[in-house]
Amino acid sequence: MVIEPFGDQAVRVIFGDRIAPEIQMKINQFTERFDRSPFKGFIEYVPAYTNVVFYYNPTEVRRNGKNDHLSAQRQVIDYLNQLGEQINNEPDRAAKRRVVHIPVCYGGDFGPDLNEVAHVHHLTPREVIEKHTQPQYLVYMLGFAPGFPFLGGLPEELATPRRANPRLKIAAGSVGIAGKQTGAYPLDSPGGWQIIGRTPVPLFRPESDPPTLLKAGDLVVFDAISEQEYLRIKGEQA
Amino acid sequence: MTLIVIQKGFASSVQDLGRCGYQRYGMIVGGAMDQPSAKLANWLTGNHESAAVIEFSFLGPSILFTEDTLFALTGAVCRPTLDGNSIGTGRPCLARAGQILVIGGMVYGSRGYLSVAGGVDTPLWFGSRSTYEKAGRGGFEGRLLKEHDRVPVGKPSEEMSRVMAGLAGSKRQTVRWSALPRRKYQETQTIRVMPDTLWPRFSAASREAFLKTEYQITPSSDRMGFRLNGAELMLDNPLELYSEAVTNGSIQVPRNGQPIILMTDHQSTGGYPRIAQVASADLPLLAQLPPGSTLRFQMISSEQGEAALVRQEEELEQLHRCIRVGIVKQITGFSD
Repeated sequence: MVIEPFGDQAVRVIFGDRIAPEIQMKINQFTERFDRSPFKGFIEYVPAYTNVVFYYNPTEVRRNGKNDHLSAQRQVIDYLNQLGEQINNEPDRAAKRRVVHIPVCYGGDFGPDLNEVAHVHHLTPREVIEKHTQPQYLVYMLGFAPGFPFLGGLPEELATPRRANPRLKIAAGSVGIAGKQTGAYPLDSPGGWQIIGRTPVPLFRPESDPPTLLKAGDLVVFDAISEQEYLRIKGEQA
Repeated sequence: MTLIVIQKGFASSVQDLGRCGYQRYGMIVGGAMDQPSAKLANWLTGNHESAAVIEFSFLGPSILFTEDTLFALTGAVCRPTLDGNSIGTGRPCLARAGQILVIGGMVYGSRGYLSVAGGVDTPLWFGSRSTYEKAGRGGFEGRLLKEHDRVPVGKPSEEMSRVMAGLAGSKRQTVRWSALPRRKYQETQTIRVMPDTLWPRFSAASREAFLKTEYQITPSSDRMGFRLNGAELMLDNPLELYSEAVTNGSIQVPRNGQPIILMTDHQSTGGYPRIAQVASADLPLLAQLPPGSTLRFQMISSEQGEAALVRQEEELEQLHRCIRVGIVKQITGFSD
């Protein structure tokens, strides 16, 4: 674990340099431990693939710190280092991961790039769907838009470059592939992902807390559904 | 009580100090671009610093007051009028029911703040009233203000009601003093920056150009980010980076070599290499610079950045105390 300053109101705690479930687990373990004893002046943390950034208010940290000769940054780094040492002494706990099933209607108007993705990999559209619904994807982080998951675990044989011409509008719920990534758009937005299907389940939930279906550390399974089922679920959501 | 928008101005929106705590879900923080000015506007009208205000850029809105209202303008320098009479900025002013505030264009600076006693009272969404346009939530119906909007206003404090009663008796409807933050605007603005971890990975020529040449803020700059134009910045070797958390003032360098400074409405994560971070103490000033402004970067340490921020907050707190004294004097009748 390495801690680096990130400007004058944040620090970055780094747990590795590659995308791997065990690194995500360490980050989870660290933030869960932190949740039980945050420091005064702490604002929020944001986990990513290999690190987590802690934001703080320097004036608050200094006001509440034991040693006001030390910079807030020094105090925060010392505190997080201590926490890291405590965790090193704890046995690794198997992560209790929530599995979230996301129904997806593949192909047709909902997945205009399904045939193209199949063509690129010399597969049938049905084989693409079978392969895409196979894995349990790990949510490494949310970012880009509210509820947008960065998922790991896309089968190599489905990795497809982004579209040469990005679309101006991709509908909310669209499920796509971009390189080795797969994910779903919570909001209507422009984008270059290869869109293979659409989910009727909202990923962004502005009326609930937290406002998203997923959080970092969850496992996601995509389930293929028919257009009728899509419309039925969509109707229930409305 | 409501404010009626007669003219919307440019990019006028409801903002407070931002929506903290939800970046891990991919939500932005948002909030006022120039936070000291937003706090100041609130203090001048007896509100808590985190009350919601109306932020406008380049061209202010025109507002009709439906009831007697105490308001204040801060931020960019402008020439506001109330029913045609010029009023100052940085001071509490009384508007009588039916009067119209015309803010007009900015004389210097980019962003202004209008606060009203009682605060703008749109619904809280995740602890904040800041407008989150992309999500269509927060602020006034999740969008920028437009003509005919009726913006709800909270109830002024007892103390401010007394200030209003006092001003109602005076011809000027305002106080004689004003409170403005100390800022040094220059032709070429020096912006302090701190090195990012990737700083050493940029080429020696790029690092030198970054610190020795001027960068211009381009017109395609907004609340999400300021796009700059100047000497190209290049990494020594291409890097494959994973997306990770970014913050206000992060200076990203996309492949075209032209830096982008992330501002208040930036996405919570980004995957471009960062060369440096703008010192937090210089972000409010940066937020006031219009497109076309030229910048020069000066490298400091993150310890110096923190010290500058803490000092700035102390100065602001002093200004807050002066305003308190001014308001109390107003009530007890020692001035004006």
